[in-house]
Amino acid sequence: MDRKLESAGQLAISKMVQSLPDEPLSMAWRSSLNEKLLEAAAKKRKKQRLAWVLRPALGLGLASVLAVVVMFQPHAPRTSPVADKSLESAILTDHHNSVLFNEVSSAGLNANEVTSEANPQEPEDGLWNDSDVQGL
Amino acid sequence: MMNRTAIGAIFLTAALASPIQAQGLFKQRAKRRLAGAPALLVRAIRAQPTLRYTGTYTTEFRQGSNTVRHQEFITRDGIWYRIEFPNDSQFAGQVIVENKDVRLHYHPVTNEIMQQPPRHGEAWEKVANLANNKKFVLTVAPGEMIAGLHTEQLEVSDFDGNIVQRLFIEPESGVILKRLLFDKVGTQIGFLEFNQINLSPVIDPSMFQIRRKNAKIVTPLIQLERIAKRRGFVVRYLPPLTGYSLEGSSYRNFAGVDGLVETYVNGQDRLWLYVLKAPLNPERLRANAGKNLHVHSIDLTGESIVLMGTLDEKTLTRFSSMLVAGTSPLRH
Repeated sequence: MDRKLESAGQLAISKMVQSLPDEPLSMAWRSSLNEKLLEAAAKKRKKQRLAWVLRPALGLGLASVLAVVVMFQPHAPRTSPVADKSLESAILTDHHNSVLFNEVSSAGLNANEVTSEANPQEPEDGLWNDSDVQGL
Repeated sequence: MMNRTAIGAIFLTAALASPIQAQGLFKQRAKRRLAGAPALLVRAIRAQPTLRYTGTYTTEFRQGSNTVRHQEFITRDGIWYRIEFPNDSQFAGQVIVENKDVRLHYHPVTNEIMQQPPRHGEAWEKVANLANNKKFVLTVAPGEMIAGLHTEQLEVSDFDGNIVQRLFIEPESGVILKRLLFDKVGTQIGFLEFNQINLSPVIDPSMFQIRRKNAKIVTPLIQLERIAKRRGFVVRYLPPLTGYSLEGSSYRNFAGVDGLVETYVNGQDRLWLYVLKAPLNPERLRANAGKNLHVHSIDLTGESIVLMGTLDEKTLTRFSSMLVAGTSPLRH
């Protein structure tokens, strides 16, 4: 390796490189670079300041929205999970039917009065009926 | 055993019920609402307190996939009614009499007389309400022969022309001989139609009395107490100081949940009280109820209570705070 490095070809290239003149950096280029760096730094600072203002504002905004959602839900279910998805509609359907039944029935039997519970079929002991009268 | 006081009370109530008083009250209310109504409707409304007839009508109501249909015999003298049922009816033997103050419903099987508030005023109010309900259009059209009498037809429709109700009225007497109700897609969901009517009957006043010794008087509260006990509910009801009287109660099964339904009347409109053995979603109930029906619900341990009606929600809330509850038999 050492022998190769000290070969004539290598030494000639080394001399040629050493003989190259040292070009000093131009002041104008340095100045423009500095200006660009300052500009970039200023932009970064501006963004940081904006973020410093916006982040808390965004947080406050989110908190306010949450507060509004929570505050303006006075009718939220005070209870409890829903037992049956169709329970509410079953009640409303019953109510609707009851209203219509009353409209139709007028002075006659209404929705409550036609149920089997309202019309028990088991007679009380000892009661007479019309057939007993016919047998007299 | 039905005591003499109870029998006396029934007769006293009947004697005090003056048709003249009822006519006055009704006229005052109706007058305010009849301005601009078709003459046919005005005639029908004004005739209500003084109509006299005997007749037979068929009534039918569609409830889900079931149709409830039965026949009733009616004897009417103004605000006095008597309703009976044919021998082949499931309600055979039952007799209903009603006057201004009370409605008595005799059940032969149990030998009981259900005592309820009267409801005829409500029926008149509803027909009168048609006159000034801005949602509907009233049109008079030719009618048909019903029970041998010529009628004119009053069509009640929305502004798009969808028929909501048809009333067939005999124009001379003002008696409503047929009434049809339709749902939003035009399907008939209920009707009442006279098969036979006599507009000049001879009516014995004793027709409007129920005299049955040893029959037990069952008030709406006793009925409620019985159903609650049988079905394991706490007895809860609205007190009379709300201005509403308990009319009746019944057990229902709502989507697998045991429910007790109580209806209240005040002569003009109704209130419904639902007691359910499960929690429900008040928001969903309110959202599905629509604009014209108001609801207020309370969640109690193991039971939900819903008050429903056309009263504003504030009043329903106030009423719900007045609910009377008790597990032991109520004293009346």
